[in-house]
Amino acid sequence: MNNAIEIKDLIKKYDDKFTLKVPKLTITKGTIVGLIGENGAGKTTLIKCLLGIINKYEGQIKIFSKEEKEEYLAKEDIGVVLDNMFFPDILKPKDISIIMHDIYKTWDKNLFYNYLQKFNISPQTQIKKLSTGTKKKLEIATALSHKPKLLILDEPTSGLDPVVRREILDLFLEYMQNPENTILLSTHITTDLEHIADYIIFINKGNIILNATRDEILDNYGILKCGEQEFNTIAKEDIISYQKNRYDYQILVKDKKNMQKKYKNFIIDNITLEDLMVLKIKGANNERIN
Amino acid sequence: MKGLIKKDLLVIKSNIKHLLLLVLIFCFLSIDGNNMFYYIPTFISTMLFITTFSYDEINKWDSYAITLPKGRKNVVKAKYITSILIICWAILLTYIGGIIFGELSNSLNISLLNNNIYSCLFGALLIISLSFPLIFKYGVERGRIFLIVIIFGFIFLISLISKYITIPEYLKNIDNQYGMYIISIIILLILFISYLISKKIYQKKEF
Amino acid sequence: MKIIISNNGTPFYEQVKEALITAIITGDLKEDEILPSIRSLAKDLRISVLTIKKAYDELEKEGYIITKQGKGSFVSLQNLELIKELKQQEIEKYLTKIIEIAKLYNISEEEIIDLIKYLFRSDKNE
Repeated sequence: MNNAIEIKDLIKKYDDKFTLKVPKLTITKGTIVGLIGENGAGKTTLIKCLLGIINKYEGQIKIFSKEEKEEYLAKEDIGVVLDNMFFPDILKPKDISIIMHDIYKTWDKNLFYNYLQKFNISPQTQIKKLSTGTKKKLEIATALSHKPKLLILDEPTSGLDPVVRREILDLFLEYMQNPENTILLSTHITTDLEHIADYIIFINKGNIILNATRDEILDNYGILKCGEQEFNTIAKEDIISYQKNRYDYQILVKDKKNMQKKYKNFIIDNITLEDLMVLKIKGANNERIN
Repeated sequence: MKGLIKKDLLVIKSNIKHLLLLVLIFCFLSIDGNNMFYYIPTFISTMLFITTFSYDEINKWDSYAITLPKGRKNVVKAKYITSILIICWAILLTYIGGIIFGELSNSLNISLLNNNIYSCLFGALLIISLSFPLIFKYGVERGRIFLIVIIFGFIFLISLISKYITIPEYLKNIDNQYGMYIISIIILLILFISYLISKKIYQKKEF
Repeated sequence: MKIIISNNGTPFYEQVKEALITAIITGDLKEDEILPSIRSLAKDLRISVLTIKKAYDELEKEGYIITKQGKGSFVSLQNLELIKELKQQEIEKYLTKIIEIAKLYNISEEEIIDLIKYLFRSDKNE
């Protein structure tokens, strides 16, 4: 059982013109997978389907090779952080431990309190009195304290300042020291993923338009920058997508090394995930990669 | 599921202090034999379990709860159990209070007390049975409205019945064991059916 | 051991590879010494595990390290000897070309040797 998650032929239709379609998606054990895309692209929908929050869909989802009907078993091993969905905020961290103790067989009270101490969270303070960043840290501490094998996180670092974000990413890296662990996280903050993600999945308008390793994407793709006249000299099949700006054209190209050889005098910059997103979503001449 | 019950009880912990104050006020007001006192358990329980639903909704707890082991199954079960626990606690306190105040004011009438307590218990269980499926289906805000409609409808119905229909003696005096058993079984059946309906509604709900 | 990852555009896996090769050649990593585990290196450098794995796989293919299942990756100097030999052969080739050019333009053997000495020294000063 090498796969943490397997999705086949998933289709979720919302009445108002939005459909999530995932014909095939596999998430390997021991990897960090980043899910990127615009707001409303389908990231949260996908996560909700995985977790059973949305349960009316076509297709098959297996977590740790267990299908939906046996979902109860798989959930012992899943740690979850969602966007603004948590315990009633008049409760306190110490209440969380009391409650979770009866919910998860593997809840580790000492581990939880260690995290609280590490993050400077008082067990006696009501959740509603915590700052956004601290609240997120609490949610993450809660997710980690029952020692899950899979972390599913929806925007775990949104609203956090860079220092806190770095702390949390280091936490995830520590979690991944165990090769049995897997992380699936959705985020807008693509810089977080550029370093630590093993795989990047790009969702746009309900479809997965890119699913590759971080290296394949960042080492391979590039942005060719040139003026209008030069733009016309670029071969059409080399242009994956482009954006026309006031003073330049920015073209998404693949196979940076060969492109640089072919277009010797042109500037081909390295790409960031943000550039990739923008060019793929807003650029002209879009193609499906894969 | 134990965890979910604890969660709801922890949530209402702070509310209980306020409500206890209210209870005490009502107790004083009813020392002269005013029967209002006896509807307090129903009143408190309703307020408390609405509170738990309310907090859940505001914090979008349901989505999170579903990701927990046995999430969907346990949420409904825990809500019913918690609410029944709250009712029992409220009734017990009221009963004790009733006895104490009755003794203090020398107006203790055990069979009247029993009658009223039983009718509160059954009334509260009936309210749960009727309102929970609606709350699970339509949410707290609309559920609250339904609840008020149900309660007033209930009160209205009862006053109608007592005005125009003569109740056979054995029903009037619920202290009678035979009548008690019948009514208990009916109420428990209604409660169970309500639980099954709520479970089905929640199973299908998406968030 | 020093591993510096820069944002200069070189793929991360190449940078890791280069840094490890340097460590091996300079003796920072000794023969049979165990390399940090892929996961711990990924964590410390804050890079993807797959990137590190790629670097390790290539190092193994090129003979710098040996990976033993369940035990880890070890520096393999035997192959380093072979590599050194190959590199020496490469240098020989370059030198042959240099000497050809020198002879063609009447640059003496001494001048070439002085030039080599100068370049070695300026490298050290850097």
